[in-house]
Amino acid sequence: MAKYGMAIDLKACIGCHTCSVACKTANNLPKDMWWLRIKTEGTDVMDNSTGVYPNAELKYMPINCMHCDNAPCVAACPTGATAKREDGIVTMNADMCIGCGACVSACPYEGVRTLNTEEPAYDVEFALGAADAPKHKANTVEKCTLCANRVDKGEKPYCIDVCPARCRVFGDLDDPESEISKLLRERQYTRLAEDKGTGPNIFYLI
Amino acid sequence: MSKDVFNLTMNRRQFLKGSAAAAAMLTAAPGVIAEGTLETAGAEPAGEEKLYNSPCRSNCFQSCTLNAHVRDGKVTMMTPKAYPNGDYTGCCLKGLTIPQRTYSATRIKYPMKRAGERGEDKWERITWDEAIKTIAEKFMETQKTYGDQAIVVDSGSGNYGLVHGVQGMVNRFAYALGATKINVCYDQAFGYGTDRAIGGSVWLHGNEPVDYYNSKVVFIWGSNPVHAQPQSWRILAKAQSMGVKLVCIDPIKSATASKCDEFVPIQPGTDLLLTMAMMRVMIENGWIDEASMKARSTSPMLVRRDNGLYLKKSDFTALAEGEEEDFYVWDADANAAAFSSACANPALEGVYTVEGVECETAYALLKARVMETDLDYAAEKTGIAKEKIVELADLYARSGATGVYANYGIDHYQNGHLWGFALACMASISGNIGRKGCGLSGLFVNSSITFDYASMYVSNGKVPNGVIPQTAIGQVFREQQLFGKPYPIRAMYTSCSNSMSNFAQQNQWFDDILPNLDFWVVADVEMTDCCRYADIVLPAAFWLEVDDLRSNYNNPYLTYQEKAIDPLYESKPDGEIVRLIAHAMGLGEFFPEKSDKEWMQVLMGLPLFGQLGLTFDRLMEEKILRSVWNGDPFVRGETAPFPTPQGRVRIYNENPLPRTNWGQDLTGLAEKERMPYFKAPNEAWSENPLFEKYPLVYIQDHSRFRSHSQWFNVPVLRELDPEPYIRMNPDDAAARGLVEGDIAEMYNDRGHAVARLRIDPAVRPGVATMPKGWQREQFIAGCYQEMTNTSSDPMACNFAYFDALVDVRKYEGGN
Ligand code: SF4
Ligand code: SF4
Repeated sequence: MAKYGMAIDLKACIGCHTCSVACKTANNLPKDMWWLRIKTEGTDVMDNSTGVYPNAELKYMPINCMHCDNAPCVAACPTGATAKREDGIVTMNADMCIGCGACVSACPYEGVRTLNTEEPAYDVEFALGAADAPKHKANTVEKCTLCANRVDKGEKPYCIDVCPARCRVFGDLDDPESEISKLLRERQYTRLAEDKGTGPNIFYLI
Repeated sequence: MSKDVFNLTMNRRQFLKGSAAAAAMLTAAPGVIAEGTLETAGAEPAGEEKLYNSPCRSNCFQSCTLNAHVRDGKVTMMTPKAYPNGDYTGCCLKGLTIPQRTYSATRIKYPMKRAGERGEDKWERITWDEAIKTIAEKFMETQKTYGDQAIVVDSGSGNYGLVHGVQGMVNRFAYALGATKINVCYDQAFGYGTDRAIGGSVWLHGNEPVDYYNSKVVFIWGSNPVHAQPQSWRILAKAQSMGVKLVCIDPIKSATASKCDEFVPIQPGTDLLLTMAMMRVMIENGWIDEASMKARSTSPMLVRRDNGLYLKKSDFTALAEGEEEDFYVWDADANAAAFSSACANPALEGVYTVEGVECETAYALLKARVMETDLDYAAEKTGIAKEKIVELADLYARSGATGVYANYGIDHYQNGHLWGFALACMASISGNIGRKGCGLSGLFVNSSITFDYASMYVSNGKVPNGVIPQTAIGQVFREQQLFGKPYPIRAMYTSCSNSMSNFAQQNQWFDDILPNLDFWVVADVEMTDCCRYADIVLPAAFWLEVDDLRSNYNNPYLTYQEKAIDPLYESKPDGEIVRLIAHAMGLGEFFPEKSDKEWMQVLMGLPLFGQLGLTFDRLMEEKILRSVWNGDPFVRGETAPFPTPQGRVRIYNENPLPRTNWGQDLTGLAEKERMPYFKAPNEAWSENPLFEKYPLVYIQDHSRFRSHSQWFNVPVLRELDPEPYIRMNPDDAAARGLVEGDIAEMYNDRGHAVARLRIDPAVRPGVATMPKGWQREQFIAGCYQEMTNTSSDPMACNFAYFDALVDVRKYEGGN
């Protein structure tokens, strides 16, 4: 069985948000819903640098569901709406979700899980994105699905091929010959909040 | 990492004006149509998806081709489509929002006429019949009363389709009317300056981007490709990973500067001075490439001391018919005059007398000019230490192959053209032009094929008057005069253009243009600043709603827009709109009813297309054709000789002409500008007395959320980037008692803009920035374009947007 993960080359990432917008459109995300956010490091203000001119630094970090090995959200969910597939993808089932928010509190990564407090609203009067894009319902929690609908057809998540900087790699961590496995052998990487024991499967190449 | 720092969208949203933010967050979903009730307009079986080839036609200097995914007759998403050379394949966040732009709730849906004061945004819906009839009557009346020139045709870079965009049918309209066609002044100075040396007019200076792989060093100068040209950045980044050193010279520690191997901070507007100083260092240290200068430049050619012109064969002997001109050099071996074409070892320096005419080599003249540059002065004004200038000169001249990536930052000062000229000269004397990995880039415009524009534009023998630059159009409106004679201009047709937002010094619209403009028609897809002040607004079809052709920028392809959906609502393609108006004006015979594809065939009708196999049928079949046939990669001066009379880099230009002549004062300039020299910025200059009052140089950021003013109203982009900002260095903010998030006012004598303050250490002290493209209604007061200046260099005739001084203070209210 495959175990899916993603590697993001932070040296190459230009913070352009193309991946975020691809995710938003392809999954027909409602207004103000983002499954993939681009954080500007060291500041709350998008695109602001840190440091002192002329040595100021600007760095970005894309954040989405880490599809953790020991997903605290799955453990916290009282209904089984969020679950872990055998291939590692942490899923969300909108029909089972009761919107209690337990998973949001359990997840150590801010901005990954978002509760739809209102009836989802859209910019366009018909469903954008893929025909099999996930449903969106009021009082349910949403997050990155690793485009399970595409992965099941042997395709890659949408955010991968759109990246103009080519810094996103998706693949099977269990296959030593996969591009991602090779990259993780060759490059240094970090994962977020590893100390929390979540076993995140988003690898940041540094 | 703490939790709160991730919630970027929330943080940005706090930047929204209070009420708007609340409204945006509370809006429920009134417009959602239940599944199954969607009307099915497509030919495909329900639910099936079809892909349409769609070149993005925004003027971002990139040209991505995307797949438009159409399901049930609706465009549901875009994905990047592969180019034959995959290094060019890409897209950005804007291209992906084409569906949202297409189906925008605020899209102009039907023709409207003004029902209130200009700018009041009150409209009455009218039929196309009424719109066309009114426009034709007004235009004909204007022509009858004031003459053909009284109709102004204004078209910009809002659409790069060859049929419906800026190079398209709107030109046939301007020709048939004999109208005044405003001469574009966006980004003209740099190429106008490089043309002095390497020819090619305003656009043809850049090499194909994949040539970066052949460089040893690339200077990224006054440009921020990471955010502004991400597709070109990808290629630069790949070059970097292959070992190419990237050096960024910029006043801002930009996203690009953060990625480069070295950042050289510079005082705005002094890049020309730095370049002159670097040339001096190269000459003083002998870091020049004499062989290259002799073979590829006019350096050894003799210039007459009596009239400043090159000494030519035709000065003494009449040329036989068809005989090519030849230029005199001094043969160093024979110690005698010789023709350039027949001399292997010409002298680079010296004063020589040929047939009684005293001459000096072009290089000797340039050298004398360059040596006027004082290195201490250069160090003081650029803010770059003398040792660093020497280091940069060394790196540039002696790395083996140095290229320069430059777009239009430095173009936006009144010395921008001289910088282009100086840069080409520096490249020439150091041997860094005309071969792989060298020369200039940033904007690669395909010059390998030319389209049959003549057949598309010319119809009834009339020609538009195209001499009045955008920089001067306000003055001509005000004075209703040109060359000291009456020149009434009273009506205007605007398409693919948001001139009110993009011309400098926006208040000239209120002071000079609108009061003298009796009738203004604007065709667009969204309510731009132009639309809001127009008399009639027409709904233009958007990119996916037509068949069209694009000749790409920064990649070597010709691409086909395959019509994906019918024009939405009552919109009509731009070419169709002008055809209808022309018919109603009695010009029907000159506007035959041709389909988009037929016009594409007209454009591709020149013999070269057939010879190269670039046929229309192939385009229909393959949709993307490589149309750069000479050179892979295409390198200027290597692939073909430089398009100058000498076929070489003209380090001395005997006859510099103004870019356009509309009667401006050009006294003494032709002689002075035969070679580059340091001309200080006009306003943004420390020695300008105005500097006391307005100590900040105003630079407009090129945001990745817009290209110029396009995409200003796409909700998904506005979620990420909800409102304008003013950005300054922490020290400058502190000195003014300003803190992050303050509502601040940027101002000078020409106008103001009120927006949130962002304090960012990436900004050089003494500089304030604001992103361009926001519309007036998106500001708390004023607009980003009020503080800029229409004052222009008389030779370059170009908007010098950054050549402006401002100050910033806390906003105290008012308009
Ligand atoms: S698309 Fe690529 S470069 Fe852009 S923000 Fe996403 S990961 Fe970074
Ligand atoms: S806006 Fe420019 S970079 Fe973005 S998709 Fe269109 S052509 Fe490509």
